[in-house]
Amino acid sequence: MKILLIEDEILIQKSLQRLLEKKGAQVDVASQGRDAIEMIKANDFDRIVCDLMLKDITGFDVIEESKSKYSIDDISKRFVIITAYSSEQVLEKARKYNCLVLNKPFENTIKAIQIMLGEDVE
Amino acid sequence: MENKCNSTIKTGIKKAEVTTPHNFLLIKKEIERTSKHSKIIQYLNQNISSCENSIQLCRQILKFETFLHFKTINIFIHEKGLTTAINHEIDENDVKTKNIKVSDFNSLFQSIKKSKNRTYGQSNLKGTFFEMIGTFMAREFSLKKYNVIFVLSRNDFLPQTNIEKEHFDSLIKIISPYLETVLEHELERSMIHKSQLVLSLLPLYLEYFKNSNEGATKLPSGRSVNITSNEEYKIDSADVYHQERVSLLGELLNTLKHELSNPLFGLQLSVDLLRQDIHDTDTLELLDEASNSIRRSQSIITDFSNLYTNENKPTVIDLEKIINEVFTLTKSESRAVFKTYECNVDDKLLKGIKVLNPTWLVQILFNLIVNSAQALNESKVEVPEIKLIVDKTENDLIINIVDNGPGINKDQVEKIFNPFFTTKEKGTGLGLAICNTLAKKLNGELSYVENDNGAQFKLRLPYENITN
Repeated sequence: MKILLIEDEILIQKSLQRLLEKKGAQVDVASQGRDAIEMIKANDFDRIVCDLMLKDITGFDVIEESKSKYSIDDISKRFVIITAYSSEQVLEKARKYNCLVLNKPFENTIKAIQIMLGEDVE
Repeated sequence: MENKCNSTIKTGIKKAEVTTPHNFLLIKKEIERTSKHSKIIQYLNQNISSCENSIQLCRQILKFETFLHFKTINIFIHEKGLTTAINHEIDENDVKTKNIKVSDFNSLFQSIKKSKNRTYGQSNLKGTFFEMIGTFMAREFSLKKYNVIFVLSRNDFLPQTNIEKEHFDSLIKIISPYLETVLEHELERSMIHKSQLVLSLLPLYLEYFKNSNEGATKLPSGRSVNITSNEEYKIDSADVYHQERVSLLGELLNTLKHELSNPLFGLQLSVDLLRQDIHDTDTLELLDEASNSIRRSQSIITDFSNLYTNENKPTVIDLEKIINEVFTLTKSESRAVFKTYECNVDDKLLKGIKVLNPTWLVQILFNLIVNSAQALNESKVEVPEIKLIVDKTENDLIINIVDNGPGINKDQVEKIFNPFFTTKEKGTGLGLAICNTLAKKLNGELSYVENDNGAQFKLRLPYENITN
């Protein structure tokens, strides 16, 4: 499975990358939203794990830009949003894209990894 | 004859000396006059109390039955020392107010004063700024702080009747004190209004009060400013101060939370990662400890930022947890103080208290503990101690905050909840005032309890706030 991880906090990025790789995934990383958009356009990722608050743009901007390549249905299947700011407005907006949302910090890291990999979680 | 009578009366009658039939007639006249006089006195006394300003006073005069044909009152007011005077033109429904030059005011004042028929006229009161059409009766007054010109006019050319003239004379004789009182109040109100306007622009929580019994500060103008004379405002100033502090702290804690949560999450993830790679039991235990510390840091920052919120959402709290948080918050102030917590209430009750805003409760306990700790630190008590005792009565949950410090002087006990009352060198004097306000907002009550061993505050929270 090919995953793009968009996260600007380096410790989170590296740890998550390792955790996903240990599960057999191939993981590319991006710290900036604009870099991520280029990578999405140039590659085919099965999963895009995207933080909402990036230094340059928001995760929602990345999703909007991806609409040129993916259908709405594709977006809802490919994107997993990770966020520390789960306010009602943010959740509402995320629901609009119908994609998975994981709150930071994860309550259970192993389960969170399984969700990102699209595995069934009890 | 009419004029003669008037002039006699004006000079004052020595009743005892008057014996001739002619003079007898005068006495009769005077009695009648006095009774008329008292009629208008009675009228003014009855209606003046509702008058808040000179305009309302003039309206009341227009309503007096004798003056029914007079439609307009012009009142010119010059506060001595000011460079402008004002003119209110008042009729039944309308008031036109304009500023006029003092020189114009003075010339009108003098012309009425010197006028031979000083009270009555017919459109001979013309000035550049003021034109009177019709029959009028005018009089000037020199009051303590004001010069006033009073013009009652008919807006037609019919002459005044004798009864109208007489009542106007009576009115003139008795109106000065009324006018003076009303104008004083008006000035006071406009001063208060202006002062409040100025104060509201300053980043200070002060109010301007007219009547002051305690702590009034004399200003160079001879007036006084008092910041403690009104119960309602007392609460406001403490409350405003508190709200600002809470929202500032809340903002700060929110920023901290956001800034810290990401690195903490990174740490947590890397510990989880390492745990998968390591099989040595000792190292795994160490990683578990690291993981616990990270989670504790996360929950501390989350709890604190939740504590400082201005949102009023009735929340069920765990009192024991709140007390522990307050002890943590006050750690730096009360480092050397021995703190104990005693609970005489069952667990179910303790965990089921519903409060409108938990921040308020934390704030009250925080302030009281910090106060106690500061008093203890200064007093150099050998074994400084703060006890927090939770009790209950039939209707209330009681939290006692007891210390073994110097306590509060008997003569100060009454004042401790007043805003800006402080015994500390650098105190704002708002701490206890805020606590008191917040206790009331929680439908409870904060009181000081006499205790020979130190200070004791009692916070009462009614059971109506407590859910089962």
